[in-house]
Amino acid sequence: MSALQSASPSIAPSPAHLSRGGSTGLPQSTLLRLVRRLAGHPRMTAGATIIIVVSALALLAPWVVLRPPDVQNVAYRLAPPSSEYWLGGDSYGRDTFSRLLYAGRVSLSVGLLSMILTVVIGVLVGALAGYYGGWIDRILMRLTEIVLVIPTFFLLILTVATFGRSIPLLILIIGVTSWPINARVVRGEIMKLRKYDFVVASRVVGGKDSWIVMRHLLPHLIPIVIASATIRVANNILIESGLSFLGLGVQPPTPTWGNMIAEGTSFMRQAWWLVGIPGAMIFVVVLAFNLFGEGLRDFLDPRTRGRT
Amino acid sequence: MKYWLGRILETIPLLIGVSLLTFAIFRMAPGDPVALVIDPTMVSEEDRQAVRETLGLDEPMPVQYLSMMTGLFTGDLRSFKSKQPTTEIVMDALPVTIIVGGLGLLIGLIVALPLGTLAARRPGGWVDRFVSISMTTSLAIPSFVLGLLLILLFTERWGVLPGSGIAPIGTIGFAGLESLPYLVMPVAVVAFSPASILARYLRDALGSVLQDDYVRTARAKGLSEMAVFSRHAVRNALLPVVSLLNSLIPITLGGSVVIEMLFGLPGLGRVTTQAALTRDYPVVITGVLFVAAIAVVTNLVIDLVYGWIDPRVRAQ
Repeated sequence: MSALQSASPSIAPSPAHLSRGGSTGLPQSTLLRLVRRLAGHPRMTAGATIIIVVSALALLAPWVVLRPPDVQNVAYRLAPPSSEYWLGGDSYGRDTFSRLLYAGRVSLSVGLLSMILTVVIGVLVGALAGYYGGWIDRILMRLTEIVLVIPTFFLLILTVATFGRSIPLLILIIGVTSWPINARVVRGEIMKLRKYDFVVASRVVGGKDSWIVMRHLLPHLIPIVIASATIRVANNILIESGLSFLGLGVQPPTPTWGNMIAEGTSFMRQAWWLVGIPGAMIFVVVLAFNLFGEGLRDFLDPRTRGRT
Repeated sequence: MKYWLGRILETIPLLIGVSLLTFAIFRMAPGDPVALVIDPTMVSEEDRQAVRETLGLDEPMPVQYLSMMTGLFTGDLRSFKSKQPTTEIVMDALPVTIIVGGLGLLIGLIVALPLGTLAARRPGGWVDRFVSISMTTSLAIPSFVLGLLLILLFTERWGVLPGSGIAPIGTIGFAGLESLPYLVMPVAVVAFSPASILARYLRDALGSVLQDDYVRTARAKGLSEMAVFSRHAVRNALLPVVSLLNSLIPITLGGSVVIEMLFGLPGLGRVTTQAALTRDYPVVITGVLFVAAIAVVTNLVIDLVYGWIDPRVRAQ
């Protein structure tokens, strides 16, 4: 999935973005300016809203739900949504709404934490390769190519089979296998940047490599890294849900959206919502992260940013 | 000629790299890899000894790696479970994966070509909007959710398509035309994402090609819009689309795992996953190596096709 994200064409700056901002000559408060800018980026705002609402529900789950996710009540086995069980009951008579929110805690943290790992490795490899070039570049890019050419799920299956299936391991495994695209993007940017005069100048006056990379190069990458990191969360959530669906990810009884679907599959005929609800949840959350990431890319891009 | 040869030779270190990485992950497991097989019913002491010998676990690492690779080719590397050589198991499963994945990509491409062209002809029109929306959707919907939705409708509700397997019960492997209904849903799920992504990509490529001077020239000399598109624009816009296939192929192969498990197709993805679930190591390793080899080889083929379409690539 990741290669698609980077291959997907970036959205060209629209004239509306360029003209917006400076149009009103009145002095504005910073807050008002921010609101105006956000209003010009409906995708980012919509994505952010969904992410905030879902994360808040997941974080506050103990105070939102009527009963813990592991309480079984035979009376509500495969029950349809009702005022007591808002999203119905599963095959053990557990509260689907409660499980959905607690699953959100797991799915979102796996997505976020593995993203951090992806970004750290990606930036490190990309920066080293792009800055030093030569044999370091060649070795690192070969490694990137090797990781990239093994279809992700097979690489994951191999690592899961080798190292086991706990949640921390899952985060580690997803992070360690999904960095190549980020590394390539960072490398490309660094190679472009290092030819600029300000970098050459810094080197001429005796700037150390680490100084140049940290102070001059990486700050330029912040927009691109943040935007791609957001989209990475979406991908990593999809990977986790796929692995959990296959039984290779988070193990029941700990709920995640993926293993809730897997458990619901056998009862799909009587209770389609056991599959439909967590499925819709994955869709909405992944969509929100994608929208937010793409919107953020436009928002942070100086070329499309309105000047005031 | 030098270009082709160089490109072909380049894949050899890549394949060796893939096998080294696979071996490294396998050997990174703490302790005796054979001890990882926790289910004692699966593996007897004899089996463990056989594996130790095949892999040469007391030998130095490079020797172990070489034994594993030769075991792969000679058939000494056997499944813990069925005792069958792993290469045989994987080769039996391969056709299903290739047929479902290949058909999915092909149909995706066939759907994407007219959609992308129509979208580019009227930017902002309803086809264009449809292409954008299905791209966004396809990136957010997990393939197993889409597949379950199809099974729910076409198998459970309307009963028009079989939801599992590859042929009627009693037959092994493909059963000619009788297998066709079994392929409809898996192929549709495989095709969905490539179709929308390729369409979107073609639309963007066409959009920029249409601004080029030679398109203006073609229009200026009075060619019909049809001729401008089919003879000048689409051919050039196809180049980035062809190179996009290079990333779609590993993704489709990876996605085969989920789709084969969901639809009960006896392909490589299912075989490897089930082996992983039962810790049948030799099969997992062989599956990963084969699927990576397929990705490398198809990428090579696409690059060669690309070089054949676009002479500029060869000149570099």
